[in-house]
Amino acid sequence: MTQDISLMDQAIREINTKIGKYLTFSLEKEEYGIGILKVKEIIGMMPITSVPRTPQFVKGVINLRGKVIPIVDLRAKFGMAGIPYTERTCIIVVEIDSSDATILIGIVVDAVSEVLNIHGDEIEDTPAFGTHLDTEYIMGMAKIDGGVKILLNIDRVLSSAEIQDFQSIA
Amino acid sequence: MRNLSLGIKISGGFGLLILIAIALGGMAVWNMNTVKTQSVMLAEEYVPEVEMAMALRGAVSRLMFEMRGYGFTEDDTFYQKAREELAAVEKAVEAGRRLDEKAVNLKKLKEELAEAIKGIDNYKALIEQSVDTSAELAKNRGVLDKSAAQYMANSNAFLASQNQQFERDLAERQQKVTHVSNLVDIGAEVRVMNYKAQANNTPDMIDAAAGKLDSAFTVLENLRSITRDEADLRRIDATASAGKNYQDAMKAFVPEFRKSLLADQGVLARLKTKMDENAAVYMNNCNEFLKGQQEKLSRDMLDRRNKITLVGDVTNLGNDALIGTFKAQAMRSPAVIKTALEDFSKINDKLDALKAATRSEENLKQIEAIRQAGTTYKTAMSDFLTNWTRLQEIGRQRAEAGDVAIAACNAMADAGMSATSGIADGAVASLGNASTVMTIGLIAALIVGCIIAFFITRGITVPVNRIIAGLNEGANQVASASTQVSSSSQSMAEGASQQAASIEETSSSMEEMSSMTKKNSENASHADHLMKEANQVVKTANDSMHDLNLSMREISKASEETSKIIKTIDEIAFQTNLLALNAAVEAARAGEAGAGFAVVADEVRNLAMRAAEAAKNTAALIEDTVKKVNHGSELVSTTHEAFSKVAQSSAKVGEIVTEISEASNEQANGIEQVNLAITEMDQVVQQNAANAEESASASEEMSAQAEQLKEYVRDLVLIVKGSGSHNESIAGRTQIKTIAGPKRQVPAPASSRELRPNQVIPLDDDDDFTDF
Repeated sequence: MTQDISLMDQAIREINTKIGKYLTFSLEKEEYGIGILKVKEIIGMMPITSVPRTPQFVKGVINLRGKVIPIVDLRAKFGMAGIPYTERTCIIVVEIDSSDATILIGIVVDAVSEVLNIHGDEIEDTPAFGTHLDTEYIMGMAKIDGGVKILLNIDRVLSSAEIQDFQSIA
Repeated sequence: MRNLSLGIKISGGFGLLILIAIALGGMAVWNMNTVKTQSVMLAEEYVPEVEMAMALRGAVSRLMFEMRGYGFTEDDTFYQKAREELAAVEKAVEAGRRLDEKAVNLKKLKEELAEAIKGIDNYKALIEQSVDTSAELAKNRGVLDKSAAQYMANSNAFLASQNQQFERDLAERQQKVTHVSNLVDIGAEVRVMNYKAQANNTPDMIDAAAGKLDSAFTVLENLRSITRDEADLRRIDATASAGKNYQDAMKAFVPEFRKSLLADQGVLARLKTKMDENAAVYMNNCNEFLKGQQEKLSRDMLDRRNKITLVGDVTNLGNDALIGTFKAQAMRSPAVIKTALEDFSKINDKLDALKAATRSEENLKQIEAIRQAGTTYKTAMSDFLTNWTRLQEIGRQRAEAGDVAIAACNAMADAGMSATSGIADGAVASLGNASTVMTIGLIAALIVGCIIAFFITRGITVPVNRIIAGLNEGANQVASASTQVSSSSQSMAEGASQQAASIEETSSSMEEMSSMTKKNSENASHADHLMKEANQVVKTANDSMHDLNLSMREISKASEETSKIIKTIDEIAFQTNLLALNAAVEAARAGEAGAGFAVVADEVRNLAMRAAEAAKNTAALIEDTVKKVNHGSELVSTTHEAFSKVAQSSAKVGEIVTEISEASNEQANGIEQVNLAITEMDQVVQQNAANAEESASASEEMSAQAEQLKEYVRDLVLIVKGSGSHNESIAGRTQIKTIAGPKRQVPAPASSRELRPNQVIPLDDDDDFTDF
């Protein structure tokens, strides 16, 4: 019991302090990272059923072993130009905490790299770029091998309204 | 003489010379023959005579020499050599006899040879005598030696006995002297003792002295035993009695003396006097005896010395005689032996003297023996002397006989030599004669020969000269004519040969052209052929290109297939990566429990990475290959195009070449025909030239013959007259020429001008070559 508690505490701590394993992926030559616990599954590209009257960044939905999962193109979300899908394009299925439930969303990324174990001293807080920019979705910056990987707070990437929409779709 | 033919004249002259030569030769030969017969006689008779005489003389001389040696030394080797020489002498004599039988001209040979033979026979007999005498002489020598030895032995024996006796007498005398000395010593001693006793007053000593005298008696007895002389014996007795008296006196003195102070002085004195008297007598007798002995000794010694001297003399004389013998033999003079014989009388005298001085029977016998031996010796010596003298006599006779033989040999030799010299002189005379005759005859022959030669020569040369003159004239004329002909034909020949030369040149250049054309056409056809081959090759290349293209495309296809597979592998790797990531996610979710699983996930990820890597590499390689293949393909197509172009061009070239070939052929044909034409032309020109040459050479021949004729004439002139007369014939020649010359000169040039252009070669005609 206490063990579970300590475990949970550790987990929470880890979640809170941003230390732990991150799944890194690349988008437009930039490396991003998502906490491993947020990641449910990684799958290769599969045909996406597009849903009308969805925002630009929502590509559609897929059928993953009976479950319908909405797919978001992160590129479109971040405002980057879209590119044709290669064989390396993958869909990462993430769990997002909404106000009441966890929902699964799939994000399309250019390529998936690896699972990195990032220590605390390697993580930097997000520098302030000015008041106009909303940098909540960035958990921090990881300094790895001379480069910077942007650690995303996936929960904040999508706004609650969008999540609502997703809920309805799903 | 003029009418006789040349041959008869010449042969007559030679015949005469030959006769003269024969006469001279015959005479010379006759003289030679005479010399020859004489020389034969010389060789066969006189020279052998001399030879034989010399040989005989030599042998006889050597024989005499050997016999002389034998005569001196009586050595048998000389005798043997003499026998050998005797054999040689016999041989020479035999040769002489044979020569005598053979020879007819040796008149003195017979008698001289007989003389020689007589001498030799005499010599032989004497040789025999010599040998016998030598033998006897040897015997004599033996006897001589023996008797000499005997004599010496006897003398020595006598001497020995004398020495022996002497020693014995000496010993005796010495003994006697010793005894007498002893007696004297004893007497003296006794007297001293007596006096000493009287002085010291010791009567015992006197007794002792008396006793001592006994020993004197013993000695006297001994002395007596060895004495024979009467006087000596008497003395001994006297000494003995004196001694006895002395003893008695001493014995009588002692008792009186012992009384010493009581002694009667008068008795003492009387006794003393008696003692002294007797002592004196004793001593006197002893001394007398001693003296007598000494005298005897000296006498004996003298006596012995005398005898020994005599014996010594005898021996010496004997030695002298022996030495005399040897000396005589060595000096070869019998006189010495005679002197030696005289010694023997001296010996006899000595022996008589010795005999006179000897008394002993034994010695007398010895002396006689010596005398006997001396006599024998003497006899032997005189015999020796006789024989030896005889031997010498024989030697002398031998020499005489040998001389006789030698004289005979010399006579023979002289005869032979005189005959030889006579013959030699005769030969010299006759040869001298012959040479004189020969010389005279040769001179005569020379003179006769000269005369004959002169006449004959004259008979030949005069007509020959006439003939020479005529020949000269004719030859000159012929020579000039032929010279003209020769020059004209020469010039014709030159023109023709020039023509021929130019035609030759043309012909040769045409030949060259023709050959060039032929070569051209050959080359063209060759090129055409090559072109066709090239076309073929290009076609083959084209086909190969096509095939290459196809195969390259296939390679491309295969590469694409491979790339597809690679793509599949890549996808697999990607999927594996995703799997690994999912696994990692799940492991992370699992937390602690998923640590092992995380490791597994990691490993799987690695694998995926490797596979991806490999696939990427392979993809890259295949890309590369495909690119290269494409590149190759492009090149192939380019090449293909190029080859096509080449094919086209070569086809075109082939056509052109064929045209060239045909054209060349036609050209070659044309040239051939031209060549033929030129050859014909050339032939004709050659003919012309040959003809011109022939006429030129014929005229040359003629000219040469004319020259030859002139040469012969010149030779004849030389033979007949010699080189000095050359000028005469030249003068004759020029004379003759000038007469004929002017007549000839005018028509000659005109005719030659006429000859040259018209008849020989129609060069002035400008016809075309169709004439040929």
